[in-house]
Amino acid sequence: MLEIDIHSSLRDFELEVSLRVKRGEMLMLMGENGCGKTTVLNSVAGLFTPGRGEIILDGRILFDSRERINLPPAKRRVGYVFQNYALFPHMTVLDNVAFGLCSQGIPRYEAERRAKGQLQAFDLWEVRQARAFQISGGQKQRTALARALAIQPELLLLDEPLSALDITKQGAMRQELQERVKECDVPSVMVTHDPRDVAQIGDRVCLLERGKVVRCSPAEEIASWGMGPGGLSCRWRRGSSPGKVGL
Amino acid sequence: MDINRFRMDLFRRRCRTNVGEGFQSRPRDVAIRAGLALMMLLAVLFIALPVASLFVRSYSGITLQTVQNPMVREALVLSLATSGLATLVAVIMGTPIGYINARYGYPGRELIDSLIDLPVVLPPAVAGIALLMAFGRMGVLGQHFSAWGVDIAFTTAAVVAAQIFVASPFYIRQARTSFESVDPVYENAARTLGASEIYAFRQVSLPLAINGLISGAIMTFARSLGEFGATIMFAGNFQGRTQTMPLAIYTAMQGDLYVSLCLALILVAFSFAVIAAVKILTRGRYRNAGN
Repeated sequence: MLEIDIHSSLRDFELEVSLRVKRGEMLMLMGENGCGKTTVLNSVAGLFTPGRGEIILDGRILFDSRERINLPPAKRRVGYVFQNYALFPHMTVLDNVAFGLCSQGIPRYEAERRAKGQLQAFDLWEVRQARAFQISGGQKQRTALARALAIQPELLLLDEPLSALDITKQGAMRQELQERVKECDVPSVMVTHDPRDVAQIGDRVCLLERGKVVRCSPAEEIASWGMGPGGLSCRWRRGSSPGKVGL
Repeated sequence: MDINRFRMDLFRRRCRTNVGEGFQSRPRDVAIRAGLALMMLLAVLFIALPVASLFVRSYSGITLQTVQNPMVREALVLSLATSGLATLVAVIMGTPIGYINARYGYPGRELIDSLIDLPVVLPPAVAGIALLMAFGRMGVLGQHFSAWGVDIAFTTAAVVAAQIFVASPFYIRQARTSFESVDPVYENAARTLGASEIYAFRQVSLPLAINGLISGAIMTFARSLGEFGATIMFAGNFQGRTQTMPLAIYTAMQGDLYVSLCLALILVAFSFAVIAAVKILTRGRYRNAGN
């Protein structure tokens, strides 16, 4: 289980988030731009250090401000799919997927053997020698996911993995993403703006507003959340209390 | 097509000019265009004529004997060796400085950055005397070196030191810009995949910045090759020891003009090669994979 209890002073507001994500569960984080969603992911990945609090993954402390524990990103075993995928543009698709294995000291031939299996599973073997910028949006998305999963992560973080895709491709990719993530059976957190992602991929959804979790519910209830012209309406927020949101 | 036509109409209205009749037919516009063309021609001629004159004057006088003149050969070897060494030191020293200044904020970063840039705007003679005051026999540090029997001023080491002092800012500045142009998200991705900071730097940041770093190194080499003022002040002008090509040109001018012209042509050829190399290297940058 992933346990997040963090507090940090950001530029415009206080980030105060408390979340629990079970093994095999996909938690969807929604909210307006700049409300702290990506900061939560970065805190879990070790790319941002919160002011105080703790992050625990399956009993392993990733961050604890009181104990002064702050594992570097390399030691956290977190698979992170970045918003624009962040594929290394100077490397081939194969090198991208093998990168995590090589950086962990696995010999090159062994890393390539494992990467080959991953590429075949993700239907990327044909484009293995292409540079990251030469492949299609869907292939980029699959490469980014294959790269994140190649290191056999204990946690998966996805930052709007479908937003860079053509709208006609999103449906199929959503389905594929859901299947792949379910196979991993690790806690997963995904940031999205799209209620269709929540309905199809998520198990639970939480809404962030200015650094606070203001609402959580099972993903299938997203349809009952108010939808205003600009996206999610704020009507329901009144009366709901921010704070610790568990299971 | 309709949208394009609409945009053109809008553009014409904004310009308050009717493309069909206005721009080209107005005598004032024609005069402005002619004036600009003339200025451009004069500027190009001003740069091209002296270079062309070098070739014209050299054509009749330079022989194989001139090229084989010991002064030419020694100056060429010394210049290439010292400039190469100065560039190597600038790369080894400047790469981490450029990276740190691009990625990390620390107190006094802008001051250090300005200090690094100082030799670029400093007159070379001032750089020479400053180096002499620091590393000369009676200099702040040089007197301690002298006590140990190590003299830097007026040696080949002084040539390298002068070149590093004057040329290394070109590399450090370019290194910082190159690392700044690499999106930190790639390093973050590498680190979440298990890479240490050094591994991420070596495998991701460095290859993505390499074109800029190489062009910075080439510019540094070229600046070192052309260094004159600081070298003559700090290292002197001794043939075979401290007499680099620019110094040899100056010296040969007082004797054999064709030796001077021969050296000048070699430097022009190097300069052309440098410009071509920098242009080729800075042309093909990697595109952002995500976009």
